[in-house]
Amino acid sequence: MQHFPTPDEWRDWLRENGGRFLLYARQQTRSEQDAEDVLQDSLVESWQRAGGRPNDALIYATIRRRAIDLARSVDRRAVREEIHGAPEISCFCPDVEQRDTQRLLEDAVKSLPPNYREVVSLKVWGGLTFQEIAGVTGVPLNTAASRYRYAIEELRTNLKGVLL
Amino acid sequence: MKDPIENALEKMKPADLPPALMARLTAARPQAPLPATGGVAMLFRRWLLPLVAGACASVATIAFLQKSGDPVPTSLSAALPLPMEHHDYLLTARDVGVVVAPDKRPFRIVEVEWLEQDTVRSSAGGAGIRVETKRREVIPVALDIY
Repeated sequence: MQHFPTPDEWRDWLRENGGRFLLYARQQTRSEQDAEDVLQDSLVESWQRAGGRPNDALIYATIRRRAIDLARSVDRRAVREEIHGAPEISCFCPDVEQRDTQRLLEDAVKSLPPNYREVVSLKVWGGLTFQEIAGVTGVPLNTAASRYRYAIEELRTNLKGVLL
Repeated sequence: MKDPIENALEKMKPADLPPALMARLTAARPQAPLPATGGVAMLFRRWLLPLVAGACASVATIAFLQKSGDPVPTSLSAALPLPMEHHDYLLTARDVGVVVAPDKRPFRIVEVEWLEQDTVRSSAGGAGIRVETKRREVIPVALDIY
């Protein structure tokens, strides 16, 4: 039987999980507006498809699919926005004590190849297993795990002397 | 011992949703669709049910009268009125409202009033008699969606 969230349940769920879903949506889209549109559509669709509270893997997979669909349909607009440049938005809670380190780390993550960055995001902030990541991204399990390892190694190289 | 890079990454918490987006998503909460039969049920209660009930009552009354009544004399049978002409005239058409069917298609509900004009004449001959009856109908009209 389909379960629809009460207003409180929905608000609490958004407050608890919305940030990490938005983070992933931002990584998958080319503008903040697109990220917000994709996020809204994906959250609602996931709840309806699951018939209740969806698991995280379903939500991430839905965000990914909708972002790809949107990119195909609005390619010209996205290119125009890229030319003019989107405003820089930090995707993480500011940490006063570690502000500089955090900024470096965030920049280093942004500079990763997109498929590496995606796996890091799903693993670290999405809390997914490699099996689930493989399902979301449509790659074999070993590929998902390898991308994660390569990403960590690349971050280690780029941040040598900063964190280590 | 955990990798220091992974450790540092995990310390970074994704930012909360911006207030404007939070408000937007809050408003987008998945909700049960409106009772699918709401509009149809109202249509039935207010219009179709009384009409059907009235029609049934008329049929029952006629059937009862035909069974219980005295046999019609042959001389009168010969004088039964025969229909000569029939015309329908549209008197009024009034929008009642719009309902949404269970398959999400909207229908405009229109109440129309007809004047039925029958001309009958006795089979025995003679002048015709004009009988006028007003008839009211409630009809759903599908609305196009673009």
